[in-house]
Amino acid sequence: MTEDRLTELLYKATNEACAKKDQVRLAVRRGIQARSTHTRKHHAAWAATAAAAVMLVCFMGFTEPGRALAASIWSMFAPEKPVEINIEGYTEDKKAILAPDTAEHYAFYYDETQFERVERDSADVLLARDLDSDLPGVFLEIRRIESMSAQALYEKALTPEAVDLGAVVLPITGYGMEIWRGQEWNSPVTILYWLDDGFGNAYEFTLHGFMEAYEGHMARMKQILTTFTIIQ
Amino acid sequence: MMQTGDLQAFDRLYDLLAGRALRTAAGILLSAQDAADAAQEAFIRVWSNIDSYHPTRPFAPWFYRILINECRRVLKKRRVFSTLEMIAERPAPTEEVAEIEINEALDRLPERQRMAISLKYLSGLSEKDVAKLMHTTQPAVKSLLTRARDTLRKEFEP
Repeated sequence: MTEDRLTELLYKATNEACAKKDQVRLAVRRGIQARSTHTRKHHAAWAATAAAAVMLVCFMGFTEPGRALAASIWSMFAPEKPVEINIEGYTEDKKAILAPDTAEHYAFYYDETQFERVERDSADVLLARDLDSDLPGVFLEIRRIESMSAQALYEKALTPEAVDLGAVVLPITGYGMEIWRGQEWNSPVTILYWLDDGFGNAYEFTLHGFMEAYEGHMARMKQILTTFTIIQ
Repeated sequence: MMQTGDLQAFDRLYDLLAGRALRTAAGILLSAQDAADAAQEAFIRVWSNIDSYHPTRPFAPWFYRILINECRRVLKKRRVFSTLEMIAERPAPTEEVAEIEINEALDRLPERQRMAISLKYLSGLSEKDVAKLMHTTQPAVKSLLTRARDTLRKEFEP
């Protein structure tokens, strides 16, 4: 049984629990208020924890100095996470850093030794490092699209040539499709996913690669997407 | 009086972790409601015990230790009920036939294999962190995972 298949089965088995997220949030809030042990020390501990553990840059404020300070605190405290992924039959142990976007809409983990992060045409782009110059480009593009749903974007993009993945749960819960342009080792492959952000907008993830990179770099990019988390 | 900043910070933490926490708890407990109860208590304990967390340590293992402890509490309480009763509480199968089959297969796994599988595949923790949470060694975790995967493969890929 592949890791993906097992993960998919486990996600299917636990969807009902995941759907209780908002119900649990309310119950937690009530529980916290009932226990009400708030103190100044508690507040300070939360501030430190938030900076170190999560990426709660937003409480630093929205001024330029606030953002600069937040960014520097962020870079000091960005937590690392060990990552194990199965690539082409072997397990790769890597270290990934947590990275928010500048508007703090989302965050994800990626291994900065394997990918370089840049901004291009208002999209967050991860470029695979250390590829030979004669190879087709391999990169992951993350784009936030306002006022559109994931399903609408998927339906708009779907073409007869595409391999329609339909509704997916991995690497994100949304919609997906793949476009294979040829049968050669270096024929381009594009994988697209769409994810609703819960606020009426959607994220479009475009994985660009080529056939031989499908099980390697493109699998790594899919693993990055499993860590994608919407903040606001 | 609760300060707004604290709740906002906590809300964001909750958003980051709740999905995986609920799934991990559900994978161990095989009950969405029990998973919700365990996750709820875990987050409340995180809030109450935040002073014991040091920001230089990785947060996820600290959090999942609390969650696993809550799951263990539920499992201990539950030992007065039979497992079959738990399965009978689930809604009648319609489109959920496959989900019930998966849950039944997970239920047939020994508890430690189920815990290892849930922590590994649902919480995103490394095998090293899983081993620490389960108070065992990494090779032991690998062995638990291999046996669990073999059993599940036989169930779903005859």
